[in-house]
Amino acid sequence: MRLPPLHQSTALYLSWIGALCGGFVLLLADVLPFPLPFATPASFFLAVVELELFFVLLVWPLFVPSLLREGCAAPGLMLYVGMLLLFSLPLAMIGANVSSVDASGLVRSQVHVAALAALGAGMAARLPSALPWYLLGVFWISAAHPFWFFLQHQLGAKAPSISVYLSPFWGAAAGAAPAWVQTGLFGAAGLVLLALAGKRKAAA
Amino acid sequence: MIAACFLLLALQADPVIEKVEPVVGSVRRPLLWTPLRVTISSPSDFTGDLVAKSGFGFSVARAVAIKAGGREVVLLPAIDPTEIRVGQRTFRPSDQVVRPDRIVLVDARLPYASELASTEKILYQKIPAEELARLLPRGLLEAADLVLVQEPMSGGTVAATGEAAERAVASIVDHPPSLEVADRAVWPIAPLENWVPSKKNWALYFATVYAFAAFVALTVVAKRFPKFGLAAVAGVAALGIVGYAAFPRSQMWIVGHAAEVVSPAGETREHRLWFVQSALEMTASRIEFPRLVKPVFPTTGGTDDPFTIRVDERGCSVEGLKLLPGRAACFGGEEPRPTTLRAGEKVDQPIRAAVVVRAGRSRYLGDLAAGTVVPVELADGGIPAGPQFDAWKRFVGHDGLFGVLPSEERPAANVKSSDLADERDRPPVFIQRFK
Repeated sequence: MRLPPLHQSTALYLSWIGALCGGFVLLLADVLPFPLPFATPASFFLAVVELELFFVLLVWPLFVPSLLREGCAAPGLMLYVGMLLLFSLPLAMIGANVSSVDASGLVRSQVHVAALAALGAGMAARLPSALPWYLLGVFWISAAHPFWFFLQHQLGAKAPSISVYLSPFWGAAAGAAPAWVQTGLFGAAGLVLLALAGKRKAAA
Repeated sequence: MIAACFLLLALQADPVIEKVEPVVGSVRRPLLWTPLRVTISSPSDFTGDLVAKSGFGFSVARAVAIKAGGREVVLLPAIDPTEIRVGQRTFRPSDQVVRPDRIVLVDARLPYASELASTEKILYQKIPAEELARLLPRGLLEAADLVLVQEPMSGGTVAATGEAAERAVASIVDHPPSLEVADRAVWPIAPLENWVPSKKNWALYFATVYAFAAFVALTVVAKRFPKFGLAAVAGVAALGIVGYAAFPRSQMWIVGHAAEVVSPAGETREHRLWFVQSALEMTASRIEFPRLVKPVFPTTGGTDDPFTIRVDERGCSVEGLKLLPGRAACFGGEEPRPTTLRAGEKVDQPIRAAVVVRAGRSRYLGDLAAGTVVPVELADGGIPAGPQFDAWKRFVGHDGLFGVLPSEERPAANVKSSDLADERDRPPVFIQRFK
């Protein structure tokens, strides 16, 4: 299997670096007319990781079809994920330094991002026609379910007890063991989808 | 039984605190330095700390080394001491205090020193010249209202004869101003930001340069020279790693405020405050200050998180200081310095945010150019002078001039600590006392 042309995906890399660096500027430079309550040293790293998750869940899958058309095999998409993590590593390390997150926390967060990137890539590669449903699903488990849980917490509305634990954004903020469980589930699902997509392409 | 024997043996090997005398007399001035003269003897070789625990929750420690059978007299700075400790031995200072209106320290070399008799209103306390030389320049005799000395010395009043001493004592109006261990007035100038300034600036700078470099490398170099496409991508990654390598690691930063106070006689002392902050909860193992400092708390409650000020002959270090985000710790100290600027009828150099005080009334003058005449009579009205004046106005007195020297906030390197990420000095304050 030959290496995909990693250096040609300019739009993908620039979107990734631009989003993260733009996030840094928004969090640090006081450019908004109001202060961001979560822009504190203690939550800075979490904000950076959440931004990474937002990108790999909702933006990265949109690049996958064009990468596949350029001849990249589906499992080879993980090389692009590696490139994205390489580019974001200094920013994540700065975030970890600001928030005093240790190396294990940094590694866990980046593996979590990689697992969700694998899931997004797998969905876009194996089931491209289901991509809109995937995006809706991401919205549902990431935003609607936690909001439902919030309503239960604040107003006593009935909500499934696992509502909040489904969200990948919760996984980034959770303690080590629950986050690894979520990372493992999402990552395994993503890798299975990528492998199936690769098999189908080989068969075709 | 065995444990009790071991304890007795340990106590026998410990030094003995023979005597504890307050250098400024048995008075109660709990917000100021009141150094102790501690006499210790030891039956065996001892190396350890002599510690004065303060009622404000911190301790002052000084290293001592005594040979077997030896005796040492140690000058130990203390603020509101509640317990003196060396090894396992402890000593509680007496609660019996006198309450004079004035405390006058007298250089023991002065010929009339032994003739001065204390009264209910004035306590005269003799002090050996050697102790005077060690304590007075460091501001450790601030509890005294007047220090009579034989020869010129910063912070002292030369009075060669008994008549001169009487005149000096009669001229005392107020206790000389100083920074106090519970000092609400200085806290409005404490910095409010939660971020380590150097980290915030570096992160912003890095993010901007990184995004720009990635844009140039990926859209210009990689497109125009496809052969070097991978090299351009690797270059961007390498830039990121280099950028992180230069990123400051520590979480603690310090903002310094200084006030240069010139007395009517032309003697200058610099009072300095250091606000120590951290972006995250942490305990600073050791912070070395270039001069002796005392903690400055916003209330008389002191601290619930004990720390130690370790003093040496010149500076001091603070050990085990717990810091919380958004809650600064403050330390203040003073020392003599050469006069750089004076003001009389006119100001020599431009000053900003000037305030003049005449007969206890203050008036904000704004920015003054060099050569501007300082008003003698004050009209009614004017705008409030602001928190910086409020923090330092005690040093201006009833007649004086206050102003900020026209410089910018700048990086400083006065304080040393392995936990320190950034130290900055705010523009210094200039104060000329006219009376």
